[in-house]
Parts: sequence; C-alpha cells; structure tokens
Amino acid sequence: MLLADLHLPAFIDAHLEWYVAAVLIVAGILASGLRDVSRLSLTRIWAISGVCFQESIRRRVLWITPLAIAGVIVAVQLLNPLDEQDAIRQTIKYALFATGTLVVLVTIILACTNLPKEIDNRVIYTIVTKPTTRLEIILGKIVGFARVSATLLAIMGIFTYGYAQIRAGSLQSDARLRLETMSSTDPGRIALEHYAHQGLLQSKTYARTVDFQQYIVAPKPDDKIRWAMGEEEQSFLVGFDLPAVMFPDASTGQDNGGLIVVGRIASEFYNAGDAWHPTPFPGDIPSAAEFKGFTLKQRSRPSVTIEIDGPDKFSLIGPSELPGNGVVELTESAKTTGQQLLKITPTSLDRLYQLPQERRRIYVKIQGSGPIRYGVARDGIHLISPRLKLLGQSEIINPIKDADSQFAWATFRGRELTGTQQLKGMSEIQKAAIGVFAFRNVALPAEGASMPVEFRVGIEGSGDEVSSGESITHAVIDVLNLKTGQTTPPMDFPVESNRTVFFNIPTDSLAGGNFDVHVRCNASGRYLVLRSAAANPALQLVIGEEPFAINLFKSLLVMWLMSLLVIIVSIFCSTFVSWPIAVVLSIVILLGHWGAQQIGDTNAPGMGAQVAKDMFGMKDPASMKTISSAVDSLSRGLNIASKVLPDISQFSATEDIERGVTIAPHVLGESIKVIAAFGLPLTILAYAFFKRKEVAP
Amino acid sequence: MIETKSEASRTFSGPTGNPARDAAIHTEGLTKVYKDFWGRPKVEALLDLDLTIHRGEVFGLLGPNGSGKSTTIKLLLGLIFPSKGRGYVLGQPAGSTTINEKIGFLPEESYLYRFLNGEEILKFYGRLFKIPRRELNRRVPELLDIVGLDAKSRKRKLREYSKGMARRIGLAQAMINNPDLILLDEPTTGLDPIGTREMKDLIVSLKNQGKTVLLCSHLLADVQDVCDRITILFRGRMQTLGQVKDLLQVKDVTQIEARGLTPQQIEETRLFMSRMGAGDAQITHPTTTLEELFVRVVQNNGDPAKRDLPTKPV
Repeated sequence: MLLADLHLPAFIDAHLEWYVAAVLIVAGILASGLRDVSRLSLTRIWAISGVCFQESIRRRVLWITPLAIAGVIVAVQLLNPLDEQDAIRQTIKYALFATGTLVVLVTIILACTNLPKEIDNRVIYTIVTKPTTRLEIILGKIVGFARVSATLLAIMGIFTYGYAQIRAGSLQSDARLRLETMSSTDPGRIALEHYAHQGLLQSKTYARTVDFQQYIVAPKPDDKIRWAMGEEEQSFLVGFDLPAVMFPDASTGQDNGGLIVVGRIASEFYNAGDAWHPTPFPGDIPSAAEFKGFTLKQRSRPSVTIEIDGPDKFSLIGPSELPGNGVVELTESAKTTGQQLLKITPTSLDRLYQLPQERRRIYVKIQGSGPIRYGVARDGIHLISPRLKLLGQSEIINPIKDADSQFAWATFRGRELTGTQQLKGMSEIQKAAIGVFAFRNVALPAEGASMPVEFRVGIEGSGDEVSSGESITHAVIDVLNLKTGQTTPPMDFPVESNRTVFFNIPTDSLAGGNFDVHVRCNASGRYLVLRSAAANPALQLVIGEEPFAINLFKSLLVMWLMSLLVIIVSIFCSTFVSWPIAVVLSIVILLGHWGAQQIGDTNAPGMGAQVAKDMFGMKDPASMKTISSAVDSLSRGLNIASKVLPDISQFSATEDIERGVTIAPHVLGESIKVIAAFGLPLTILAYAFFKRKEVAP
Repeated sequence: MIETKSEASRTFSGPTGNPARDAAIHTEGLTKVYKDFWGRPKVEALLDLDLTIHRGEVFGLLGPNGSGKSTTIKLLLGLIFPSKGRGYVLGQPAGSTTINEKIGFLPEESYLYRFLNGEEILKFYGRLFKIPRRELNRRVPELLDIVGLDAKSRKRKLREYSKGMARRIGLAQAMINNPDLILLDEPTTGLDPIGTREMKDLIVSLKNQGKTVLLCSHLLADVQDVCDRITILFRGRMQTLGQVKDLLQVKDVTQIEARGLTPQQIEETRLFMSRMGAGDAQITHPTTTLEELFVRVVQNNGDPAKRDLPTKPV
C-alpha cells in the first residue's frame, strides 16, 4: 500500500513516466558501465539484426501472410455493411486488424523465444565470446525483429492498398448503376452521388468541434440567460472548484461543514400563451365539488432535480442522497416572476474527499420537468460553505470562470448514452431541441466557395407519436457566425440512420473560423442520436484531403512503432524468464496500463465510498471510511502503476484511417513519445539484466 | 611430480613479472559453485583453481566428464561468472568484451546458426569483428580451405552438415579473427581419424605461429600428442600440472630402441640384460598407434598394390 498512499507532487505526477524513464536509463547505464555504450558498433548491431531477420524469414514466418490475407478476404465477403462507405471502412478495418494482430503475434513470439532459445541451444556461446557487448546483442535483436515486422507490414500494406482499391472501384461502379434507377427524392441519393463522383478512399482532415451542447433556444454571445428543455429531456451543469480548506484532515475530527446549493432558475412556457393545465399550483387546484362525479388526479408540480457530478461530469452524489431526493418544486413566485429560488442544504462533503486534492471540481446538475423550459444565467447558481464562514472567509463559492475571466456558462446536455446525445425532434421546428456544434479558430483553406460537411446520425423513435418508417426524417441545419453575428438560412435535408449526408456550407458564412452549427430535427417523436465525442462527432467539417496511400503508410508506420514497443517489451521479459512466461508477462505489461486504469477507475473518484456502501452495505461512517480508504488507496496505487506502464492506446491510428480521417502528425508524435518513455528504459533494463545473466545453462 | 601453486608462481617469468598481466591465462582461486533457487550450494563445479598458461604454449585441460574443464573455459570466456576468485585472459579480466577481439573459441559442440550456410556463418562472425568486407571475402574461402570444407559444402546449410563438417566450420569461426589465444573444447569430437590428425596438425601449426592454445579434452592421446603442458582436473579440483613429458616419464624404467636386430641378437641382448640384473626385461617389437595405421591406409588412397590383407583367416 506504500505506493498507493504515495501522494506525488503534481509536477511529477503529471509526467511520471518521463521521470521513471530518465532514472532507469541513467541508473541502467551507470550500473552496467559506460564502456559498453562507448563500444557500441552499428556494424555489429546490423550483423546481429541480419541473423535475426534471416532466421525469421528462413523459418517461413512470412508464409503466415497469405493466411491472414485469405482470412481478410473471406471475412469481408461475410460483411453486411450499412452503405458503400461503411463497406470500404469495414474492409480497411478488417485488413488493418489482421495486419496488427499478425504483426503483434509474430513479433511477440519471435522476440520472446529468441534469446531463451539461443541460450538453450548454446548458439549464444559463439556470440558473446566475440567482441560483441550485451548491449549490442539486445539492440541487434530489437532491430532484427523490427525488420521482420516492417517486412510483414509492407506485405500486408500492399495487400490492403490493392484490395481497398479493388473494393472501392467495384463499390463506386455499383453506386453509379444504382443512381441510374434511384428516385430523385430518395434520402440515400445525396450520399450515393457523393460516392459515385468523389470515390470512397480519400483521407480527409476535419476541423474538430470543440464542444457539443444542447439547448431549447439557440445560444448567442450576448445572452443573459441560456435555456434548456424541460420534460427531463435536457439538463445543465454548473462547475465549481472547491477550495482545499473546505476539506479538513479526517484524522482531526473537524467537521467539513457540508455544502449548500443556492441559485435562481428561470422558467418559461414554451409558448407565451400557454397555461398550466391542469395547473399544479395550490390556489389553482379545482375543488372536488366542482367536478362531482369525476376522479381528480393531481399532477405533480413542475420541478427541478439536482445532483452533484464529479470532474468527469458523471454522478458523484445522486439525487437520492440529497435532501428531498434533490427535488425542488416550482413555487407560486416562479409562476408569476419566472424565477425560482433554489436551496438544497446541507450536502455532506464526505464523498468529495475521494476527488484528487489538486482538482476538487464538482458540477451541480439541474434537470427540469414539465412542459416548460428552464434558464440559468452565468452566475445563476452558487455554493455556500459553512466551514469557510467559520474560518472567517467568504462563504460563497462562485462558478468556475472561462477564458475571458467571466463566470463560465453552464454546460447544456441532452439525454446521454455512451458518447451520444439524443436530440428531440418536433414538427414545429422552433420548439425542437437544438444541438450546437461549436467550432473555434478553424483554419479555413484559402480556396473554395464552400466547405464540405459530413453529417451522420442515428434515428430513434420515442414510441406513440410517430411510428418509425412512416415519414422521412429531416435535419435542419444553420450556422451562426460569431464574428459577424449572421445566421445562414436553414438547410433542410433528409437523413437516414447511420448513413452519411454530404452537404456544403458557404465559406463566407464561416469567415473568422469561429462559428456554431445548429442542428434540429423536424419529426415529432423522433430523436437524432448524435455522437458528441470530440474525436468523432456526428458533424464534421472537411478542411483538407490526402491520398489514401499516404494515410495508409502513416497508419502502418504507427503500427510498426507499436511492434517496436512489443519487441522491446518481449526481449526485456525474455532476459529474465523462460519464453512461455515471457510471452504472458509481455502481454500483461502491454495491457497493464489499460487494465490498471480500468480497475483503478480513474473516472470515478468516489469509488471507495460507493464500494463500502453498495457492496458491503455499510452505513456506519467509521467502517465505511476503512473500506473506502482501502479501496481508494488501491485505486490510487493502480493509477500510479498505470502511469509507469506503456499506454498502447496511443498507437490508435488505425481508427483514423478506418474512418477516412487523415492521420495527424501528433498521432505519430505520441507513438514516438511512448517508445521514448517506455521503450528506451526497457531496452536499458533488458541490457542490464542480460549483462548479469549467465548464458551457459 | 605434482606442481603446486607456489611452484607455478615461482616458475613464471614474464615482461612485468605479473602473471595476471603477462600470461595468456591466469587464474587465482577461481571457484564456481552452482546454487539452487534458495541460494543453497548445489554443485561445486570448480574449486580454487590456480593456473597460469604461458603465451605461445599448447596447454591441455584434462579430466573426466564433470571434472570442471568446461566450467573453467566458460568462466574464462565470461559465459558464467565466478563464485569466488579471479581470472585473467591476455592480461584482461576474464569475460572482458575487448579481449574477445584476440580470442577464438570452439565450443564442445558446434553451436551455430543452422539456417545459415558455411560462407554466411563465417561472414556473420567476421562482421562481429568488424573485418572489412574485402578482407572477409578473401579470408572466408581461405579458412574454409584450411579446415577442409569443399566448395559444395560451403553452400550447404549447417543443418545439413555431418558432425565432422560442423566441427570444421566451428573451428573456422574460431579462427576468423586470427586470434592470439584459441580455446578448443573437445576439438576432435566427431572427427574421423584423418580429421583428428588434421586438427592436431593445425594445433601444432598454430603453436608454431606463436599462438596460445588451450585444449580441453578427455581423449588423452590427442592431448599427449600436441600439448606442452597439461593439468588434470577431478571433481572440480586440480590434481596435477606440468610438462607432458615430465608427467609421463617413468623414471625407474629404461627403454632402449634399436632397428634391424635379428632374433639371435635379441636373445643375446636379453642375456646381457639378465647379467646386468634386469631379469624381467621386456624385449618386444613396438606397435604403432591405430591412428597411425588408419592414416596410412587412407593416405594410400585404396591402391591395391599397397593393401596389407592377411594371408590366412584371423
């Protein structure tokens, strides 16, 4: 638990892998002597690598590539793609998956078995008794297997390129044929025309949206209040940074004083003339005498529900843990003034102790019910800390500030599910929810009157209002230019679930590079399911294109860098354990970062308290604290451990090429960083271990 | 007859007088104890070996299987590390990479990359010594000639080699760098008598070139033929050390050799010896070695005129 209880300074914690790498490299070289480093000979390294390469080739390692190629071709035939673009993406995905799997498996087996086998059959006798240093042997083997993986990648790369070209050509011809017979109003026509004319294999550079939020009224720069839809469709989150003094050391027994949420919520009917029906306000409830013979069922009043979310914007203290289940009903004053005073008190801070000390940021999430919309100003919500008052400080905690040092706007969201948000459609488009894709500082290309945009959504029905398939769903899109304040006329086009729509936005309307794209759905009872993840949002602006071959090469290069890490880890393991254990250990090291992160659950800082409560059913604070601190220590320990293990998710360029996205230089940079931070120290460690290894069995 | 450590040190004379620096090989209390998983001593492979091998001599390391011969060689080459004591090779601590430039090593079996052919393997080892390509192109065929591998064999993969051919290519790789010190572990194992003879001739030739050879074998005749000095190891300890001729000399027996004596002259000699008080004197025709006979037969190249078959059933 020592590691777990270690609280590293923030500047070390942020770059822990680099510090560990530097220490290992320096210590490894000093411990094993600088002489071997000074004697390093590229001739010897290349000679040793040549033997590794020749051995692999003569052991017919390359014969496995036809099997992989056949597997890809068979698998692609069994695909059931959504459309032509999906077909080509799946083809590339399968080919690259086979390539990656093949390269990783081959290199891990070759690199793990090589050194133990040479020691076992004593070939190593004739190598170490030559003027080769152990460092040269390790490096030679790394280079040798890197040559093998490069050869495998070259073969699979040529196949992938050729096969993708053939498939794309065939799909493009099919698209042309289908267009001849397709109705001009068919919603799939736009996409098909695009594929028929533009082809299917371009790699595009997209301007990434910096944010996606949902509102009921389109936000403008000079807004005083921003609005969320009621009916529990949308919510907004107001962020706060809690000062450290609010959290006394638990061992002192001091009370942290809890927290009070106060604020003012605006509320409005969707339409000015609307009235509550039946009105939920006490004075408006009709008397039973007036409706004799009828059973009167009182509807619950419109209300807002409050919960506290963690830094990741996931629930930390749910409504059920707050007084009154976190519900604040709208009062008379809200009906008449449109403003509702909000107060929830007190909220225990115990759960918040699990947040990282340097970042105790919480969000107050507010969601409203009823056919009304709810608004909040920049400084609409505050927190009050009784403890701060006791300490003689201001008891009020203001919301976090944005880059302009103003109180930041709340984050507005729709219903969320695994990286997507549902956007509610309405036949009266003015009443539909608005999805806002924010683009900031986009470097627009100098040429071109219009910018191509790709828009791909899912469509879901909400049940009784409109049954799916009865009518065509349309998306309505306009663009608000933040520089000019101008909004483009709405563009209306049919959308199909999971089929990309291609359209263009006039470049003039994007001038300045700061703009919001508004998306609405015109079908009542339907939801557009929009990917909100910044890496792959539903709406993307194309700002550049690149030949597929270059993108494929970059993808293979990233894979080769990954294979280099696999080789280094495998050779490192094989210097001190037998090859079967080395294979297992290599896999553990390579997947360790991911696994430790999953178990450590970095995204849920309050896991300890949750485990104590949910798994052990504890209510006693003392016992809860024991379990919760043990779980959280373990969680922290795993998180630290995950930082000193290589993060192979950095080698994820294949996802980009599958989606037709140009692989950005920073992806290559991140891969090289992983090699430098983990590959280099592991190489030195492998050398240090091997240097001390008796190679005669 | 048994030379002790103090005698060995006393008899050493080199430019600096320091055997660790001047001798080809020098060990002081070299010990190797293999331990089990828990660090408890399991096998005492070599105990307190004090040995000095002079530059330019052919030295034999003898002993039965498991006596510590190979362990000594492995310690000198840095394949394993000593539990105690020190070893020096050509003036450098044993296992030093730099000194490997001047060492050639033939392991007890030819542990080579079996997927390469004869030429490829020699070029690979040559590159480890950073021998220039042109020099390597000249040296590889030359070495293959020396060890007796013909042009056809050179292009065959090592996995197709017979045991004798593998020993020959192993010897070639040990000499690729024209070493000053050659360590040969059971060099004649797997060789036919002709190959054995050639190996011994080669060792003598290396000695004549001023190179030091450490020969490790349990085939005593081989050692006897070529070594200047030997030591015998048993159960990890040195049992004896000295010049071959001194160690083998039976000092209370006198041997007289004569050529062309008639049976009558032989009988007279026996009577003379008897009169001199040597009543148990043995007078017989000397026998050659089987190796000599084999070499002679093979060198006759199957000539029917030179066949020496018995005239009656044997």
